[in-house]
Amino acid sequence: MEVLKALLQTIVKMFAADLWLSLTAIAVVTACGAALSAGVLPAPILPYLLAAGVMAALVIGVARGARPKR
Amino acid sequence: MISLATAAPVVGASFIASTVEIVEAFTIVLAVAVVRGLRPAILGAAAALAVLAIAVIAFGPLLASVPVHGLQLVIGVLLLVFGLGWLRKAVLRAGGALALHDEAAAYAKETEGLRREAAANETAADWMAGVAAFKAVLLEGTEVVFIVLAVGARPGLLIPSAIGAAAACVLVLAAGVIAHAPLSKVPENTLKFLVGGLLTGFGVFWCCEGLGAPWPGGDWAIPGLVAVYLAAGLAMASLVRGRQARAA
Repeated sequence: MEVLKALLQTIVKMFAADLWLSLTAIAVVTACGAALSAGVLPAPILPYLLAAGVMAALVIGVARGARPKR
Repeated sequence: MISLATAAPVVGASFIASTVEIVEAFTIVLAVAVVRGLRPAILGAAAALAVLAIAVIAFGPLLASVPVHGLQLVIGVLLLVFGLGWLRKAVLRAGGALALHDEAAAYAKETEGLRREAAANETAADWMAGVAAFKAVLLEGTEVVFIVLAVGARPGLLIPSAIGAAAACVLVLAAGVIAHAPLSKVPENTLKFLVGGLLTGFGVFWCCEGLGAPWPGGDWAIPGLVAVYLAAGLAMASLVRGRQARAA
């Protein structure tokens, strides 16, 4: 039971060590996909926009992590 | 025929990520072997490897039944989330905002814990030591299995991915047998930083493919994406370091 619990914790930690960063990355992909499906975003632009969105998520994630702890 | 631009990052990502995880598992298994002998260490590690092998055999073929675009998108998102997590942590560690992982300290803590458990309950000491080895290999191995399956989830790439992981396994075990000590000199954070960049690059590439908007240049975009995220990571680590120095 203890091993199963640890395994579950490991799997959760793999994808949600920083929940904010994970959710933001998923939101970026979802928004790009939705914009493409709706015809708002041309397919040739999507890769660059997605890469930039992911970069922004990383920058904000690092900035949040580097903030001094109160 | 798989191009070098495709296979090289797959082998590299699998090899480096597996090295990080196997080093961590090796530290615990070594502690078990030193405190309680080789038997519980080998039995625990072997049992965990058997469980992992069964999981791969059981769930691996399911991947083939998922439509290619859907699979690319799901794997892309998982790689992205996993890679970003590693890259962020490595940047914060390199910048001094988080403490570096210390393999020697992990070994000392595990050894101490095993000795304490053995003193409290000598009859079950070997069993508990075996469980510790089992848990370490199972937990770190789960991450290795995910990375190998995820970066190798395109037709023809599973074998290069598995070769990367197998090479890491052989290298770490050989180094461990020679050193007969925790592999604390392995630059864990540098490796984590590289893997974070590689997996983030793969993740972005696969998400775009899965959404039906592939990168111009095809697979050659992968090294470019990896380079961009690594360069950004280095710049961020430098900024965080400067900020930490000013705050000190």
